Amino acid sequence: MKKKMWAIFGGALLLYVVIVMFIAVGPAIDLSMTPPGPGVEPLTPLQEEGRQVFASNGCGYCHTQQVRPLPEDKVFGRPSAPGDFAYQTPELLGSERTGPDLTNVGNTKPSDVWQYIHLYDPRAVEPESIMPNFKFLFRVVDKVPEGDTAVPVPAAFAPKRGYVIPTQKAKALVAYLLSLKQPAIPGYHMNGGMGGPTSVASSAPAGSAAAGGYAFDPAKGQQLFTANCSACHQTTGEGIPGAFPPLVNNPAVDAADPTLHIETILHGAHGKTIAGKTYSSQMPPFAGQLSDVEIADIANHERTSWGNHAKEVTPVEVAAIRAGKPLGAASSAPAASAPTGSAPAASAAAGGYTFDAAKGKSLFTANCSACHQATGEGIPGAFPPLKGNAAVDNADPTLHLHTILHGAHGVVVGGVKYSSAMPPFAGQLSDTEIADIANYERSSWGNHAQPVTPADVAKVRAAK
Amino acid sequence: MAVTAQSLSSAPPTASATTGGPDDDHALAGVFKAYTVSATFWLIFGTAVGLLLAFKFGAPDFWAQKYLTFGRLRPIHTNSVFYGFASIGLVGCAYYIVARSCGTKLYSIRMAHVGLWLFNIAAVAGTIALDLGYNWGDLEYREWPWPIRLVFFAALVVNVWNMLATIARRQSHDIYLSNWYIIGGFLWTCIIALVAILPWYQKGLGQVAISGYFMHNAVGMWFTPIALGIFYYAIPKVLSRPIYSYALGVLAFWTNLFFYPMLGGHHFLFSPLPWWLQTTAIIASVGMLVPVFGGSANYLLTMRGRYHGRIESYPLAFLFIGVLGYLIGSTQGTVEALRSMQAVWHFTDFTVGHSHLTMYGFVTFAVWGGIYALLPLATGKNPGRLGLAVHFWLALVGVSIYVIALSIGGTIQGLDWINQKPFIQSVVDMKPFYLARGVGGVLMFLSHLVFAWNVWRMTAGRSGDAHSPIMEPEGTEAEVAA
Repeated sequence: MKKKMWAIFGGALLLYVVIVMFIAVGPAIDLSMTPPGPGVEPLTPLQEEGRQVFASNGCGYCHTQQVRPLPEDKVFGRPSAPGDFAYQTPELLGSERTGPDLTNVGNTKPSDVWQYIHLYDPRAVEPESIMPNFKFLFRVVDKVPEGDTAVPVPAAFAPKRGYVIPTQKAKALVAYLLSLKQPAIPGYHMNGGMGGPTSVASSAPAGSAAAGGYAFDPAKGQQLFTANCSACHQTTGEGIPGAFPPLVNNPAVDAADPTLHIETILHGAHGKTIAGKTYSSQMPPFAGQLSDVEIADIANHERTSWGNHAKEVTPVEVAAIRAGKPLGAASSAPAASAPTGSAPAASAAAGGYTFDAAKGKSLFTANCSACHQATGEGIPGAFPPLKGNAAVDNADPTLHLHTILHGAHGVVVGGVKYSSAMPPFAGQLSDTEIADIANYERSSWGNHAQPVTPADVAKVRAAK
Repeated sequence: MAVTAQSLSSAPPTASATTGGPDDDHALAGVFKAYTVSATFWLIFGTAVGLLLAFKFGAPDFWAQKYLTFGRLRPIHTNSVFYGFASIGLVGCAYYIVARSCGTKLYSIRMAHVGLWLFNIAAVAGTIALDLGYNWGDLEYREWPWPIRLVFFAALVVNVWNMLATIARRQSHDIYLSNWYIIGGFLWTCIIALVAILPWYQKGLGQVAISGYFMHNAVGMWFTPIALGIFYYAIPKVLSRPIYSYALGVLAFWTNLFFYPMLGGHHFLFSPLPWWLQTTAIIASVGMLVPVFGGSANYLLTMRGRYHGRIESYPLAFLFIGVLGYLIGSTQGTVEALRSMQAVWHFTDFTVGHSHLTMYGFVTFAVWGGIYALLPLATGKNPGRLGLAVHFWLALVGVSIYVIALSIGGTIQGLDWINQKPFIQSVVDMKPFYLARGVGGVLMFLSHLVFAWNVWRMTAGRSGDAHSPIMEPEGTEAEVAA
């Protein structure tokens, strides 16, 4: 009798163990040794902390972090590769998309301000969102503490009084979210799905890009706008005061010459001043993910909605601007009339420059203080201080300007080595803006170095 | 009709075969009662949380504080209905079935109670840990911190030891089929628990392989076999006739064991997991049609000729819906696992509909069927007829609304994505379906309150007016008379 028992139960157990070894344990051991893909980096301690916050609060139940090789997933990035997950334990691939995939959220929503507002109240930026608010990751204070920056929550969603300040957990979470970027795989091109009913739905908008064939489809334009732009600029085109600029009456959008408008969509923007207000948040570039036709559709939607009446653009014009060619004579004429501060290079002529301390401070806050802090003291062990920094508080501005232009990595300041990477700003800030920032840094927190001019910046920039 | 060599053992031995005295019967009933009461508590707690979650889809700012935020309550809902309600409810029935079908008393009453305590300690500690934010990486159904999962593992070991020792002292030569499924479920789940807990060999993508394996084995090699074990005992018991084919049950047992463990990869179709792993999972999912059709046919043919009796006997009605839930839910699972279908339904709420069709339409109805069929035999107390009817219809209508709403909504969601609409469109399109799901959820939750009332009458309360779960034999049927 015992024998029969062992035959049935022992046999069932043994067979199961064999199958489990073959189907689960073996592959797991093998796959655990998958090397990181090109450009896949481990998280920093702050991002790692943010990952914990993400998991603790169950973000993974509504947001996947895996992109499938299906046309419908293209919007989230290239298909996930095995090497993408080398540093991800526990894995957060997820199984449901009540909300969108987050694999590339650091690329598509690179603005920490947007992330903070969205976490504080998702409906402040996305009225139809059903994500819960994460107000418990924020504090409301009467006075913004030194070194902190208040989140510019739109008035309708802000607390009645006081300022919204992210807690350490919120900062870590946002650092983690902004770290979610797929590194490019050299030589990889999307091959258009793996079969199944979805492959027929794959839209190939490039096909209609022939100059003659383009006709603006307002429905398509609106759809693309909703998918790519309205999270920040809002469906009303009014943006969010203090965070994201309006497109309504925006001089770059509602302008006869589309160059600046298209350029901004293609290459993104940062620290623009529109109608006298500076917007610090980062707009991502769309050149890599949208075709010329799609960008034309978006631009035309923006140029013809909410009371804007600018001339429609064509994919050919988008292609020309993408290639860096000037548009035809007719359209290039009004370019100089763009009445915004968004082309600060115009005022960079050496003679005309005077340091505007307020401008310098706001540029510093937008670009530098996240790391170097409003106090200029940096963060011990992470980001070097500027206060009393030998490169900053120095009669020769070369090293200072060079660092702002080209970034830095592994520098030793005051005998302490800082391993974090500082990004280069040459591509996004004009000479005037860099001069403003440098002068602000050179004259604050007890520093007394000589001011620099945009010409100095241009010289260092040219010297490479 | 289908009289096999094993037909002698194909009728579950009756209570009269027990060697135990009234004290042993009383102790066994005490174990069954204790497990059922615990399970009822976890059902009400877990589904109250579930109802709150459904409400939050329409009111995301409602109770959005730290300890009530959606992402912390969601694993509390799934884990408490899995490891609190369904596990404890099934094991309670399993204890009764093992002892009765072996015609002996339990090896140890004390171990059965220790096992229940361990289950409850794990579920309480797991709930608290999740609410405090100790979530192991949102890895579905294994979110509890590992020491807590170790307590659950200990509960499995204590209980399977007790059951094996009980089976070892059985009176008959054969081991009744229910016990194959029950013991198999316990032994396999011990392996599952160990494989999932050990952390040192699963990193990055390797952990994804284990997640896929675990997610489906934890349901398919634990809840499914024990629920099927209940069917094999309770359906013949209620009808007082043997199971249609013992051989078919054996075939279903071994094919289930062969195919089920390999299908977990279908949770990660189109993921960076190796393609062969995904394809194996799809083939195994199709292979599952063999045990599912074989098992379901066996149950339905056992009920043949007594279909109108379902309505006279609510225990049979619950078991019948459980069998249908098994058949429909599992077949749906096979269809979902095909790549072409997965491209539409993966990541959508269709999956949530599927998991409720199986965990509720199948497993939960099987638990209720088992309790309504067997607990009155153990305690000698019946629930009221009205209570049974209200429970049955609220639960059935509720889960139907729930599953149909999410199946339609999930399909629309998937098509929105395929048509490359902005993501938010799929959120907007789901609104009416989330509302309908909530309505279904309310009916389901109300039915659980009625169930609690029925459990009260079968245990501590005053016996109700329902008939004995054992149906009157039908004289018109020759074979019954024979």
